[in-house]
Amino acid sequence: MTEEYDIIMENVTYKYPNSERPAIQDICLRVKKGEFVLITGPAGAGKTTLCRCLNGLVPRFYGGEFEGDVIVKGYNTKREEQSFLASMVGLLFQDPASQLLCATVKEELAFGPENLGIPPEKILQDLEKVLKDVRLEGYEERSPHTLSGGEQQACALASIMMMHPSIYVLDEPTSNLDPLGSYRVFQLIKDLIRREKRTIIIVEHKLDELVNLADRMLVMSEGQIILEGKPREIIKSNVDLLEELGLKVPQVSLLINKLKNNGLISDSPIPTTLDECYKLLSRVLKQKIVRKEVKKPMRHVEGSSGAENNKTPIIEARDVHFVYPEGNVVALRGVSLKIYEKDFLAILGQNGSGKTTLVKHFTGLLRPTRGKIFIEGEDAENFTISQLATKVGYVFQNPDFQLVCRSVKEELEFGPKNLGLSEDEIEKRVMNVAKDLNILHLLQKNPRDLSKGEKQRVAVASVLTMNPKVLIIDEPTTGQDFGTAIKMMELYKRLNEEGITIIIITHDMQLAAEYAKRVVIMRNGTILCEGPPKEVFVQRQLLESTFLKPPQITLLSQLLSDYGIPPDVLSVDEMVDILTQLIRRGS
Amino acid sequence: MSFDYIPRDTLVHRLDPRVKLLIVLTLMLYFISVDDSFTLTLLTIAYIILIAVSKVPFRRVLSIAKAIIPAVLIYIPLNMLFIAANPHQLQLFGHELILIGHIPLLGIPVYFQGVIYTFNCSLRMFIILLLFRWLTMVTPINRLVVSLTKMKAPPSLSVATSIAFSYLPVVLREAKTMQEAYALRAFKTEYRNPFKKIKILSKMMFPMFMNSFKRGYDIAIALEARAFNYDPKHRTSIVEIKYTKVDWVFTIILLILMVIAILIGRWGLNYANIELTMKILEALKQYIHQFT
Repeated sequence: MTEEYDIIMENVTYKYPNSERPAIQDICLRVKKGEFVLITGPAGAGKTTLCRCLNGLVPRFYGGEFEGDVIVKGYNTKREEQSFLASMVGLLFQDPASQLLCATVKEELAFGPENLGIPPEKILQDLEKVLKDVRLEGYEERSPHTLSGGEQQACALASIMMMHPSIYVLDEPTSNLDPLGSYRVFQLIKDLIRREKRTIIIVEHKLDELVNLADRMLVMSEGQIILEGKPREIIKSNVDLLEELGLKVPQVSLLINKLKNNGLISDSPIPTTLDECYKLLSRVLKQKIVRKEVKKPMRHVEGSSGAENNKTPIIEARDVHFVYPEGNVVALRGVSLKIYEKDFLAILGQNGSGKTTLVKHFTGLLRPTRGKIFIEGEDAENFTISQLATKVGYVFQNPDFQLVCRSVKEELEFGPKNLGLSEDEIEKRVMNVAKDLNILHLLQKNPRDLSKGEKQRVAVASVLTMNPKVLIIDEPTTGQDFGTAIKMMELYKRLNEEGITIIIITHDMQLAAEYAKRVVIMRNGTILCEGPPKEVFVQRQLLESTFLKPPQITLLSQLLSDYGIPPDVLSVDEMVDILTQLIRRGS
Repeated sequence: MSFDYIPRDTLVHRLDPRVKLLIVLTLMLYFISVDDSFTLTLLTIAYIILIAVSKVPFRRVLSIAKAIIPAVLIYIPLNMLFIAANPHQLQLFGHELILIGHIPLLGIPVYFQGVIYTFNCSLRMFIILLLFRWLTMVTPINRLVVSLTKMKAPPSLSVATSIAFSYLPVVLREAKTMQEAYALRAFKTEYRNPFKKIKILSKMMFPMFMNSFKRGYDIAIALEARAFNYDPKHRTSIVEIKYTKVDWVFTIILLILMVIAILIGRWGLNYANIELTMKILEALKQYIHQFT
């Protein structure tokens, strides 16, 4: 029986040391040889813990209370050495940078097989082949830490492939990557599936990429497997539940599910891909609409993007050039941009396109090599960083770098204290912000003990106590699960309504489409285009040239333009409204 | 970053890392055994020639100097106060003490020999640090580590060294991000006053340590996941290091030079002594006298 299954988990329950509730509970799982299993679920569901059970890291490395049995290729992980398990189970982590250990790519790849005692000649032979497989030829002598995120993850995957494990466990391999990096890593994973026919377990939030490839999908929540089956079947029959869990359900599935709930479509199965959805909708629309209406569809007039009024912009970049002194890297090549009060701006683009460099100019952390920055109409040169900090707040991508105090309260007081405000004023601000962001109950806690979502909230709060007029948020969604990302975006939306200008840097086109009033697309240190999302997201070719993909729903609206649907639909709800009107009118 | 290897095609680069380590040790021995400014200056010139032969830009070598200078600046007054002011210590130089004057207020005597002595010590400290700087610039760290392993160092030690070096740029980058985070919350991080600087550093230390611990943890997991302890005795390595003929020639020459250095240090040999500097200075004085 053990021959047939590569992995058997029997009633596995595990509790981390110093933790109150088990991270995983009563997990029973059997994975056949050569099977491809997709695991998904919200943050804290126990996905990573499950992965780490498979190569013995749990409980061997972490300690804690472990019950049940994990049997990998017939070996019980309780009885085997961790390093022996590691030779059978290759584990790829979420953060590419923290798993790269060596000075060069070549050594990185050789590190695993060296540990296994494989002769150098054999390693070097293998190395050439694997480098080719992951498309990193010519990178042998580069330091892994100088590579881009996608390349780093490719290198990490290669270093595991070098050990020829029988089982691959990939733990959110694309969560920390930009779209280009994700695309690259997904390609490699698809190659891997095709080429090696190994057992593969992958934890991933981007369901639409893998739905058609995985043999089985598991949905985890609060330490348990709550759904199990063929991915398409699961999505088809559980859209509401998945959405409730905060998972990123393909937009087309969401759309049809909503139409079904509203009684507009009956009896058709819920599609999981764009293509299926297009076919389904065009069938429905053909039936309902007697003659194709080519009339201009109704447009939602969005709130003013702020660009048209004649006020002084709150931030203005005038032909800004910037060269990093180390290595003479040109990061900005003549960027001009006006940002008005109460704007909600999303800056999009691949890593290395200059997004962060640009916004760092708004905070005074960087000063332009050429060109000028104006804050509220005044040259930024005239302000120190501290002075600018009271006008422009900046929330870092990784809150661990930003949270420096021993309690959340001190954290919120830190900025205003440095500004030399009176104690009454500080107390007032801290209380207001804490109440506003719903973190009153966390005030006495140590920021390091908080969950990732809470940390980010505290990081935002610690900036807000400085009373900035502009809030810049660097990649608020990277490495977050979709549910948390949505909550954060809702928060920014509310702050924006309260009068704060919001600038976000993001890769997530779907969230940018739904929340931003204006988007800026950057490439190679220049602004490629800017405007309201409705104008920018219809320019498919332009977006493709930067590897950005419009949201699925926008793509669908473009496919359906023959039926009188505008090509610039940005959200599922908008599409539901349009289709509802069309279908009702038709019948 | 300050520990980067600069690839060049020179004899120095082709040498076995162990020979280069020997070069460093030999020069270090000379710097330690020699106590005379004139010879130290000659040795410094030898070091400069070494850098020139390695085709490594001086600017890059000296980029680390900024970090050393504060240490030297603290060292000099301490030396002047506690060692160079002690006639017994200075009499070892075997020359009549020349009093220049006294430090105002404290009344501590300043001898000419003391000044020379302090200068020598600072130069010595400075160059010895720069010697290691040179080593890391002409030898990839991994080759150095592998050669250490060949010399029977345990693999965990060599891997730890190698990881530490490969993560250094990452840690520096993180420290910079942290500094930016402080600055953005109106916290002044750049002070000229060294005491304030220390106070701020200590405030930044804690979160930085916490982040390093977390990183250390991640690295440990990554090591485990790559079967690091699979069979340490039979671990193989793709980096091949061979001792060539040239390496052997250099080794022999360096060993002879080392013996000489030890002899100089052990018996003084009167050559490597402040006496020589004094003689040269006196000769110079007389030479100048002839014209005046």
